[in-house]
Amino acid sequence: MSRSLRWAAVAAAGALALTPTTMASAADKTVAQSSAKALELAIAGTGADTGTITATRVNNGSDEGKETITGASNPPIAVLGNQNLLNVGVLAQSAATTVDKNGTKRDGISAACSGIAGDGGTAGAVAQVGESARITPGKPVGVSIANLDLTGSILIDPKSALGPLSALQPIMDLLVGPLTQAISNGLAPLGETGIQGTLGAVQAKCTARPGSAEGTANIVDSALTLSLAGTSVELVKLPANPPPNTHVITDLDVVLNTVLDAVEVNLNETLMGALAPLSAIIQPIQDTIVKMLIAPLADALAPLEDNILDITLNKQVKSQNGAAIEVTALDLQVLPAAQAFIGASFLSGEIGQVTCGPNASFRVGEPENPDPGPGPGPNPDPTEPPAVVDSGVDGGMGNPLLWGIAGVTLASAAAGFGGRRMLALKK
Amino acid sequence: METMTSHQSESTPQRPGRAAILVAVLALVVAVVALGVAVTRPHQTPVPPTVGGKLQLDDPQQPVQGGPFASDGDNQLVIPSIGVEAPMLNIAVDADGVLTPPSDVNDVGWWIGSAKPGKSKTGQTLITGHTVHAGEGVLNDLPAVKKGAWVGVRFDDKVQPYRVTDIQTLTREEVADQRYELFGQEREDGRLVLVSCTDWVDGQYLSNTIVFAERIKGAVSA
Repeated sequence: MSRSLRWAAVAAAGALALTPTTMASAADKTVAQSSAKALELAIAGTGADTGTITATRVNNGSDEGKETITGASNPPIAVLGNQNLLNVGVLAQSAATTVDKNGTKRDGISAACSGIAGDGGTAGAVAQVGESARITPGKPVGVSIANLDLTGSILIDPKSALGPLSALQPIMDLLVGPLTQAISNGLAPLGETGIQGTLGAVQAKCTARPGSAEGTANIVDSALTLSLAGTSVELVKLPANPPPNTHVITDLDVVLNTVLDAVEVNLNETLMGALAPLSAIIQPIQDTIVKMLIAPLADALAPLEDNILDITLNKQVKSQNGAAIEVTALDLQVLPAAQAFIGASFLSGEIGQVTCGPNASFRVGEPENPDPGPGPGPNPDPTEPPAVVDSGVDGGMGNPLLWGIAGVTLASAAAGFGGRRMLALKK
Repeated sequence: METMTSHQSESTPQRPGRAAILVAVLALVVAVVALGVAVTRPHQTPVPPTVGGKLQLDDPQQPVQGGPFASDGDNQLVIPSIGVEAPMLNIAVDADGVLTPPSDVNDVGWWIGSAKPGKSKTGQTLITGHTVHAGEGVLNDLPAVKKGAWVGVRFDDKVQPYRVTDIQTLTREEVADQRYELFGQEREDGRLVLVSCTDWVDGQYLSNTIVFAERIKGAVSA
């Protein structure tokens, strides 16, 4: 083979070898993205969800880029299986992308919406970004979380979704047993306590454009109630438009106060009977006795806030310097303290979860990541931001001062060397 | 041996001396030039624009009274709080997406793909300069800049004042991931972004120090 033929063969082989790299470097860049998931439930770490719908738009060199949607929009209730924690009627989840046009510039825009409603509710879809998706409530969604038997422990309600998990009762006893044992005598007359709830409609929405993302949560006619001694107390009525990261757990003070009030009444009635012959003279003593009993009880009940229920409304997590957002309309954790024993909250539910961004801009006819050629040279797109700012040097040889010192040293050494040679020659 | 010594003394008596003197002269030239470069760029303590001795942060419409800028008309970055007064050159991103400051570690570079300070009220202006591990890099002290500090950029005989709003340290991976938000031109406020390197580990810098400064409305003549 002649030398020129060998070079041609090498060049051809090199070209073939470079082809995949060139194709990879010209891969289309994502300019808009969003996703939505209506509901995710997990009991003791094992759960089910409604799947996720994802919308992605890439710059493929065309006028508006190319959108790809994966996953199901507004899935049927059957995807939740046989759970009976929630009697949901409608599951809504939708995601979409588009571009804003300004001359040859295109801004990637994305939006998503997801949530639930009871029977008779309807689910809007984000068919086109910019349209307002809406979930309208039907019958309230009933939530049966757990029964709380303060005389012994938290009991799993066999009628609730947690019924099949009664085998975990020992774990729950371990978690809250000592707490409730300490107060069981004082609370015995109160009987069983339950936490239930109703949800009208719950939804989260988000939108994103290059450099920014925002989200909201809407909750309609939703509340949690406490059943105690045959009466029902509203624990909290969930706000319709909660600010980002609204934590509901502190409102469980209502539980403590309700329980304490009931105990105080019970004690007073008991003492009144026993001390009746002494009439009103004894009242100060009675008050003292009640206070002495109530105070430690209040201290003992306080940890319930941390151990039973943790709810966050409109949970928002921003990332990518605010260019991306994840919104969860209602994040529910039951017995979060179980994390230490089973690696997850005893029950966790996320209703209405959406993500939007990060998005980017592009110019028509300029696919992202053009082939840069064989080596670094001028960037063909001067407006493409740098991925690396290489602004650090060692400095051992780059500092003028060091060069000066080195020069003086070298000069001295050279002069010394020359002098020695001259002296040697003169010998 | 005598013959050899005699031969050496006859054939090469001057060459070692000439070579040594030549090396010494060259070395001295290098030393003088280098020291001259260092001496002619002393870290003076620049004075931010003042009127009546008061820092003009809240009244940017006022002309800069003299100010800290050199009179040679070159583009320039000045950060009085850390003693930076540096010539500013134009630099570009290479095909690998790398932006490298000017090779002279006393200069800073303005990315030509970013907004022109004093001229553009949108996008954002990206300026970078070297941090030198051995010291004396123009932006070695960038991490010491405080929020609220005044920064001035002279560009085409216009001085654009800025006020520092945030200082972040991001890894190289984070910078790459967030480059559009950090350096992209989609913003509407024309902010200034100053970048240098930090986090020196095992002979390399792992992170960037990034200073964000808001544009104070009203560029003024230098």
